[in-house]
Amino acid sequence: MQPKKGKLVNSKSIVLERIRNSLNNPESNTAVRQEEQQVLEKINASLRPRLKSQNLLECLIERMESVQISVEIIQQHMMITEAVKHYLQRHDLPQGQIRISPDLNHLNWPATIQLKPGNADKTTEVSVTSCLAAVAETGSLIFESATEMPTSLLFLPEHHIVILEKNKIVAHMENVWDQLTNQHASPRVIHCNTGPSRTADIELTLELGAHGPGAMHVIIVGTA
Amino acid sequence: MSKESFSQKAVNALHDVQLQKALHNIKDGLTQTRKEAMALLPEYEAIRQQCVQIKNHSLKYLDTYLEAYEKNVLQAGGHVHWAETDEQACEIIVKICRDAGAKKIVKGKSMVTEEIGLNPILEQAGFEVTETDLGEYIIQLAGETPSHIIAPAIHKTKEQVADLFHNKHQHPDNQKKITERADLVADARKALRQKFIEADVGITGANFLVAETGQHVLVTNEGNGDLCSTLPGIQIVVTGIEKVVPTRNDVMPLLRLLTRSAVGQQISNYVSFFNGPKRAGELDGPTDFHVVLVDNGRSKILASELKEILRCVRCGACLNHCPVYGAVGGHTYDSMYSGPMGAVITPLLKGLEKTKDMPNACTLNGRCQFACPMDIPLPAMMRQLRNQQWESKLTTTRARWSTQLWGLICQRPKLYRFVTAVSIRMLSIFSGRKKQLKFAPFAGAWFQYRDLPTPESNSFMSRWKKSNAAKKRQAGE
Repeated sequence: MQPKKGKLVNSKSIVLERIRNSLNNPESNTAVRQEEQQVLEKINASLRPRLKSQNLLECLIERMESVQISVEIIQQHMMITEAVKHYLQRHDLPQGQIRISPDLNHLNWPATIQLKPGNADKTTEVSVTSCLAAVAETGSLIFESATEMPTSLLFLPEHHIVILEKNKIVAHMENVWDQLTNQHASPRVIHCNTGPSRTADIELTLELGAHGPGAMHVIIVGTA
Repeated sequence: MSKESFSQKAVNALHDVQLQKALHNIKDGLTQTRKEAMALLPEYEAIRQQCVQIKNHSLKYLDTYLEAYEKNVLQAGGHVHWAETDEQACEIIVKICRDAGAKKIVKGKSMVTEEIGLNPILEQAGFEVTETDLGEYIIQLAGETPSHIIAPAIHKTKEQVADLFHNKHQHPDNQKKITERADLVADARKALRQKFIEADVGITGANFLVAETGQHVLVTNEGNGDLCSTLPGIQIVVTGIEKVVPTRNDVMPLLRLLTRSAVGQQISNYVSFFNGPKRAGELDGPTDFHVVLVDNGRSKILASELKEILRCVRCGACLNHCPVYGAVGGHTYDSMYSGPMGAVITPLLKGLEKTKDMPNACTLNGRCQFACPMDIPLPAMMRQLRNQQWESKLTTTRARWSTQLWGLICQRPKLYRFVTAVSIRMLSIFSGRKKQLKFAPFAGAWFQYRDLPTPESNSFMSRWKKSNAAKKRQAGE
């Protein structure tokens, strides 16, 4: 069962050789390929599903609610911690051991809410994180892994609360790529999460909370 | 491959009450939700043609894009392995796990790992392997294979799952059997959460590979694929070479149609773009990142007339719309790929001799191509495979004989008219003036499950002649 190293290095050239033989375009022309690709890019840029209205916030909220994300809007940053506190109370959740993404550390958290730094573990019930963007077309929230964003916070807790700045709402996912184009290094992962985890693997009937969070709550910050 | 033939298994499937109930759910559920989702996307047809163009372009320059993808994975700190065959792919994966001293493996749902038969090989090599997609987990506990590419346990009822969990999960002795669906999901979540935390290796497939960035895209609803890619120290991605596209923007139209076609959702809950191992200072993510690019016959398909099957994004819409799949289910096909896409791709991967019945398990009604977001001409492909069977003399003697007889008759118009006129007369005698024909000689097997509407008492040609004659008479008057 132990393949020799040489054999595997060889596999690459064998597979590529087979592909090239099958394709049978001996002088695969870079200029032609790039031209074709540019045509595709043009179509990509012009063909995107039209949104129901010009108002991105409205579209976003409609989509989010249709995928069981609960949404609330607050006017100012200083109201975030209060909103989180109320969410915990509403759902009868303990105020201790809330994990937050480190970039939210500076907020005026009340003493009753105990924050735990770091990534999530199997005891984590609630996480509060920021996000990179939100997509109005689909109601998705975009997260980028970083030292300030341990991605286990997005998947292990039962409740995921997301803080979204209103100016981070974009129309389509392609707009997120446009934002990231100028970045030097690509992050380990970009997650596009749309609602609580779900499964229909038993009799094709939908159940929430399969492996990821069973509840997702978005707090949108900004004047309407 | 099992010993029973397709038709034997089909008969068993038709008599399986539980299975018939489960298959009925597809018709009411998935095809309907797909239809509703498409009605809300007026750009559907345009996006569909865009997807066809993207996929065709990617396949036309497959070597270039695969090399670009590899280069970018290496740059992100990952490793890329190329596998010519299923056997080689498994060897590579076993070696990665052994070298890391791993013991426990969690897996996301991956049809390619089913194709290469990875699980039994990992188990033989002494690893503990746990499937984490709920459907895959259920069939793993039951010791079965997937019966649908996106809903692997679609053939199982809630009661069967309840029994399975009751027997296989370690509950306190006095615990009552869990029977509610939500509680069953929670029970599996609890059992699998522990597996995620203990695992040394996470293995997933990939829905798309992006050449320009070296990212792979993973689409799930449960979030299990993400946990497999976040918690264990080693991440292994196993994927077919046909999955690569040039850019991130090229992924978007494909995504727009993938989940809509599969289950009628606008987008899956979790769509993730992964790129290599964890970066300095990050708390989560694997320290080792591997991609295994599997050929296993795909490069050969690329040269064939049936290469369009490589556009397939494994959404399962063709299965959901196929009357044959809907009647006999996935296990009848004896392949991890079932339904129309399975009936085309399996003979191409395994050879026509071993899969004789598959391209014939089709009524050529065309619903699969209609539902296919990549506009793959599946019915024409099955016809093509039948031609190939004919040419390599794989067709049964009876079918050859009757087809040749048919050919002989229909090449002679006078003989054809005579034979049809006689058989129509015969059939109307057999029906005895009833509207439904229940039996005809030499066709007992066909009539066992079907009735035929009684034919009109004369043929189209004879009526055409009569009406022409009448017109002439009128004109003459």
